[in-house]
Amino acid sequence: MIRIAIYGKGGIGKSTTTSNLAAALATRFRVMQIGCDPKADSTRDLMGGKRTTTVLGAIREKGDDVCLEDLVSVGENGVLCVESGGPTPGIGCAGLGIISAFQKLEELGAFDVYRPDVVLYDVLGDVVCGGFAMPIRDGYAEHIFIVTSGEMMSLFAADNICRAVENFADRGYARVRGLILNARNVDNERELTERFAREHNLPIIHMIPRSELVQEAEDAGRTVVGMFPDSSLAAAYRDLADQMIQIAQGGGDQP
Amino acid sequence: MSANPFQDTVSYCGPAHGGWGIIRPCALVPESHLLFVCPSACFRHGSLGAVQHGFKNQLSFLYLEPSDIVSGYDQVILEGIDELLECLDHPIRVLFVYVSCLDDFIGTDLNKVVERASERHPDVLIRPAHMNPIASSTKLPPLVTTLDAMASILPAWDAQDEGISLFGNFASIPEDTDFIGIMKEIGRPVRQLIHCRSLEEYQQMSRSFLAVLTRPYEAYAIEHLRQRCAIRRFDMFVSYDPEVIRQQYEMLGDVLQADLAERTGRWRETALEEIRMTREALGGLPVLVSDSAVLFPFQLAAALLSFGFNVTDVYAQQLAGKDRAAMEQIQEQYPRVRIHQADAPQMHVRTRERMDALAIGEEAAYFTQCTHLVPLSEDEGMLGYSAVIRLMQRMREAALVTADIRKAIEETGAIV
Repeated sequence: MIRIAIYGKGGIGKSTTTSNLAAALATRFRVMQIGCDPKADSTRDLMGGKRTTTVLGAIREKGDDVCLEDLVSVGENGVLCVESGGPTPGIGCAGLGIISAFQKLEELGAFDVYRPDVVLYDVLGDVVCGGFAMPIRDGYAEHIFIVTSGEMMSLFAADNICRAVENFADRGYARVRGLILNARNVDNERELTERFAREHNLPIIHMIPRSELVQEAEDAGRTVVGMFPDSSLAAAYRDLADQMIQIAQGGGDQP
Repeated sequence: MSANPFQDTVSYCGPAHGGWGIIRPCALVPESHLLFVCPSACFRHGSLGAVQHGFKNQLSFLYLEPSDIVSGYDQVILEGIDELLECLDHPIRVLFVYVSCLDDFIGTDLNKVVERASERHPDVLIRPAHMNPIASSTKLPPLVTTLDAMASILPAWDAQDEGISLFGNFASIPEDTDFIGIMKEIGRPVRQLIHCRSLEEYQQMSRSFLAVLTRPYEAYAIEHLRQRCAIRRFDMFVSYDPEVIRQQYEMLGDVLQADLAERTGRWRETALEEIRMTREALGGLPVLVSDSAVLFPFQLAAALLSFGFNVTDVYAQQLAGKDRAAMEQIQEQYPRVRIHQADAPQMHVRTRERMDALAIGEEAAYFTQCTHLVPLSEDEGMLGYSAVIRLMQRMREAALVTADIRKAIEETGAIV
């Protein structure tokens, strides 16, 4: 089982990228995507634009009677979709929500039952507390990829994530394997991102060009890979998926 | 400046550790009830203390589940208050809603939750409170915020009366003490929380023109009270040094515009005579001072040393700021006096042989298994010259009998 966490600044396109990766990988692998954002919108494009029941929502509703079928929905290309969910914004503890959701999935043996080949964790922008570091701990993701544009704030967030991961370097947690450049077409975007990558000794795995197809597919509640399979953008996502799998399997550019 | 022997370290908690705790003072508010919103394992000590001290029916618990922590528990508290007020078999007029350390990171807006609860239950004064030992080393430890919550019930009055309210002491300052007696003589009735039997009576505490603070914990609450009320503040912290007490009365006399020197003179003489008699009775018997007995153990030890007592050891968990000067004085003038950090882990390892000494406070007695014990907890009932007189009398009485330390600890009912 290959376990990958996708991090990056809020609004940079993590969920879009992750969903398209999931859709692309699902043609060859059994894929599970776990959204780790209290907003619970990670798998929306895989679920026809519908919101799924979240782990925390199901626990709230059913308590100890909750079962895996309540938590796992099957989306586009058979991708297994899970949303951790979280509290109402402004109250409770979202980080603890992620921890609780992971514990419940573990308790119910989600990986043993569904036996996914690839698990993709789509994580909230910043590692602000222990809960948001949960996906990179032992037993969860082994590989981290950071989605960024060439915008300063996006690179700043990427730097923050790298530092958080570095803090855990002696614990055997997941390592950052590379950057995914989700282009916003800002000036010198490629150069700025390459400079950042050099400074952090990370490869840029792939550049996803800016395209209106993303918005079009999202409006339809679909992924680009599913809705426009012959587009160059879908091809870019498939290439990205291949490279990430190659890196995760020990090949490709290893930082 | 002398070295500070107190360090932040792993803590050892001996069986004589503890005092009034937080719940016990709060439960003194008449017609009140305390609701603790917390995980089920919290407040076990407090619960046991409530049983021990006979106010278990004043306590209720609203247990939080992990899912409540994730989602926030504003609504859980509101519904819990509704349920509690519906099912209580006796009417209450004050409800303290306590959240635990957990809330220090969840950050519930408890004030707003309580505001909403108050709208639903206008006949009950509901106040937010925090039982958060995690804040113990901050400037707002649980006792300080609890006293503030208690004082928040006290209203502003159109005019203050001639009374004096004592704040800071939980046990009664007896009627036959110098302070109460003299205040009565000069027409100043004294109000004490412990004597209040109804909410109305308690609320009269803010009607007094003067708040006399006997221990500093309540300073924060009094300052808040002063923002709402025309009550004045006078600090008269419990002391066992006649000279300090003389100065306190002198300053109090200025505030009250009364000559207290003459009225207190005979009490002072009695105190000095008691000191002389006790020193004679004890001879060179080693005296051990513990902070389970008094708030400022170094001030007490310094006073006893200056009277000629053979103080050999001082036990304290930490150094209270106002006690620093006394500790430094002891370190400089009486270097033979041993200072022990009572919660240091090495306190667990000690000689179990009984020593011939007199301990003031159960904690020092437990550590040394000494032969004589003055049972005293948190300066209970002490103020003015009577504090000196009573302490000296108790020291002489204690020196005549062999102490049953285990029994004394049990009777104290200290809450950790």
